[in-house]
Amino acid sequence: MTREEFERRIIGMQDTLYRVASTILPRPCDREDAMQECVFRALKKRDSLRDDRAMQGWVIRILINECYVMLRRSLRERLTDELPEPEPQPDPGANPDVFRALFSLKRDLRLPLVLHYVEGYSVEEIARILRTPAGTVKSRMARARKKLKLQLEEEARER
Amino acid sequence: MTPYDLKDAFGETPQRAKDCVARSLRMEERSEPIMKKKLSLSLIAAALALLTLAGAALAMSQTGLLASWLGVYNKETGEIETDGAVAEAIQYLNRSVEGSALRCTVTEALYDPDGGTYSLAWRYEPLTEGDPLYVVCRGPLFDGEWTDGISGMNDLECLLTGPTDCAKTGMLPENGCAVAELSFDVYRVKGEIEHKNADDFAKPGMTEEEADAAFEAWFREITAEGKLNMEGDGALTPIWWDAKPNEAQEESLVRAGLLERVDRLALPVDIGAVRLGAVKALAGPAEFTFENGDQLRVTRCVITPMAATIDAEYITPEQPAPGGTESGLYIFANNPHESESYACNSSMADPVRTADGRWHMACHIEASPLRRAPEAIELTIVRYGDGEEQLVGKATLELTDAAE
Repeated sequence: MTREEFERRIIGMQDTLYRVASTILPRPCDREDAMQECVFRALKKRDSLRDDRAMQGWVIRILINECYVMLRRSLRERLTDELPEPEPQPDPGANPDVFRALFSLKRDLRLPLVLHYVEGYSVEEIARILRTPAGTVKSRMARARKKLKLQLEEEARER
Repeated sequence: MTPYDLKDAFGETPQRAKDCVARSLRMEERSEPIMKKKLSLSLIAAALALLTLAGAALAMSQTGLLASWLGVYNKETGEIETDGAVAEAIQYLNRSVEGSALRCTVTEALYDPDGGTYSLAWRYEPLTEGDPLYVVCRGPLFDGEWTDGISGMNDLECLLTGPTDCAKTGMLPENGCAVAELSFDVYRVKGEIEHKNADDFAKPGMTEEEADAAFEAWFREITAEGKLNMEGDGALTPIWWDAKPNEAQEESLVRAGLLERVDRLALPVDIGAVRLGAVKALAGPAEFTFENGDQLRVTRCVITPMAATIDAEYITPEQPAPGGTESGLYIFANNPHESESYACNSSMADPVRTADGRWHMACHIEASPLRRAPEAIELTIVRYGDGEEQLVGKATLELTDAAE
């Protein structure tokens, strides 16, 4: 794959990358840093990518690693300041109810859910991205759907 | 709602995030040779001397790391452009500290006391061959105080395989102290390095707690075998979810013989010689009254190319719920120029009833890094409550040049 083609595909993935980063990181500045670092690393290591078709999943995997690095950085800074974890905030244009319901789930549960229902990856592809057995992805998605349903029902009752 | 409606949980991708992608695409072209190039010590010394002498010229030509890192991607030209005032205020320094295995050199600094931010760039240069070095940067501290970080590159810890550039933007302490105290713990990695994380241990039917426990067990096992786990390109995997990337963990790895402490270096750097000044400010308090009768009084707004600092109070006749994500009030400060917008929010302080019977809530916003001074600041006031978002109104601040 030429650099131009790689660059074009990275730019085409911007929205996906931002949504995945948002799924893991509450602070917008951390999401931006993670995306910046992810693209930088992906470009540096693009020659190590054996199968061009696997590029999207590979870049998302790099991004997820970067997000966890950012998360740890954020935890370290908070430990020093003894501040609570910031609440994730919806971006302009987001539906606040859906946002709240999704972000009521733990990270491990919402990530496969977003990769499948929002980004359109199959369970097998998600398993490769998360380096997790497909059975684990399925069980996490089932638990996530169940919790999401309960959360939405609870919100509806409260109204 | 079906799971496919989850897309609605995400709004539009902010322009700033897109700019980050574009910046990386351009940075990769620029810094790849720098990152890989192995210079002899004499060449490095000569280059640093030239860098110092040519500081002003470099600032103008925007070739430094901070100029690129703090730049804004121009879609039309495909270039990273640095705000002129930022470029002029970047100080090209050559403050080094050297141990037996590593030289650390603070190469650039930006001091922005009006915006309450700083930026630093520094470089690690291994001085010996052999096992890779693992460097932990503690700080910078100002007056011994840790301040919030805003953005960073290799700024906490990294595994060195050659000269490595680092950068960090963070908040200055309230007293504007200009002496950044950096310290570095330098270790030689003695153990074999593995790259795994908890996901690698998840098995069908496992809960995430069980997967975490499996990872922890593996982590202890490889430690006993004389191996280390590194995340990405150089973060020592510390079992991130319980946040233990601290000195005690490093000490335990030293005791286990996996890390060998080789240097502990301290480098205080005075970055106050050049100030990045305010470019716009609010001439006097500004008041806005919204359709529902609520008022916003902005008492202070100072803009530098790196940060916008706003103090305001929201006044309402009805007792509001305490601030929070479920209910309360938020302000979004943004630049109306779409390509350079910066959205941030800040919750209001708890409401205080005043003599006139109304309720006042103070609000302080620090938006950074802006990277370029906005032409105007627009505040959007949103009230959250009962699961609904209600737009109260918008207010555009009339700013004047700070010098006026």
